[in-house]
Amino acid sequence: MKKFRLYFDKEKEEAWLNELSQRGWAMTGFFAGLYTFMPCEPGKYIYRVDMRGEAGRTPVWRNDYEEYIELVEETGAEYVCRWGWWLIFRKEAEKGEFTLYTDVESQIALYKRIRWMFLFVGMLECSLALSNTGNLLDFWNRFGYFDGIGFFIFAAVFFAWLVTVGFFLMSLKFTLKMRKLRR
Amino acid sequence: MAEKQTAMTESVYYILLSLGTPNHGYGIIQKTMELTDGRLELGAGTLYGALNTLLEKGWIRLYSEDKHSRKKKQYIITEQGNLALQLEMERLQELLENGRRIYQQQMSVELEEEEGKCREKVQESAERREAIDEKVQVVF
Repeated sequence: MKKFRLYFDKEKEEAWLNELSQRGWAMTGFFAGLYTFMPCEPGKYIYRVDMRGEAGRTPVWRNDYEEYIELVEETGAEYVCRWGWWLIFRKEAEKGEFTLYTDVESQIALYKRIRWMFLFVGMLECSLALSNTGNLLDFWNRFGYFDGIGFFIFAAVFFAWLVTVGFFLMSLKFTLKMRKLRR
Repeated sequence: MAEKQTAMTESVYYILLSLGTPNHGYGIIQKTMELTDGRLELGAGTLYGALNTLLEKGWIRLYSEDKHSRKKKQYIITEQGNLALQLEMERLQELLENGRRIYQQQMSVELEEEEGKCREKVQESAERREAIDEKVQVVF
């Protein structure tokens, strides 16, 4: 079974994966929003979504998580897949609890990494949106109407602003989550 | 060590304790479980992050990285790490001693108060008994 979803919040994604596992579908792969599921005994696995990379410091494509993955697997869990900075693990529920972050400090550090990722990508997206807005204004000034390529730029700019706002909102959301944890 | 000493997290404390002898990642998790009677099971994410921070701080170092065999990385505590651990233990000791002392003082004050109240009650009941006895004598 394949399902298409875009998750910004890893906790919601985790909850969704666990819910599907409860219903007898075990997630086995991910590619650009497309999740692959295989049938399993209901509730067989507990899923955890993790993020280890640091935006701006660890390139998205770099794969130096072997050591970490090995450590997680030693605790009885299983590595499912990776998508850029994101890692997904699962553990058979009968093998006991599955928590990757067992103290508040490391949970906060995780939220910090995620927040920084949203800020970082948001800023990139913002500069993209700004320069494209410039292009769009040029186009408008020259022709006074939008058609063909003009409309394409318009759509791209709109999308870029949407993503920018979305990512900034997400970084805000993770700031609030951090606050809640600190309390 | 110019850094100001702040309280260690429980995880860091047990990681350092587990690295008195060379140990690898999962070994640290097991050792911590053993030391705390199964209470504290370090998560892989927590441990991995802490190991990297401790390496950066120079509190632990790589003990062996066998490039030929596929043996796991082992870590060991450094002198600096030992110093940090000692300072932390002193801090914890102070914490505990102060706690015990103040608590005991309070307890003894409370005990004395309790004792005082009991004495009063004993006194009261004795007086009541006398009063009853007197009445009984009057009746007969």
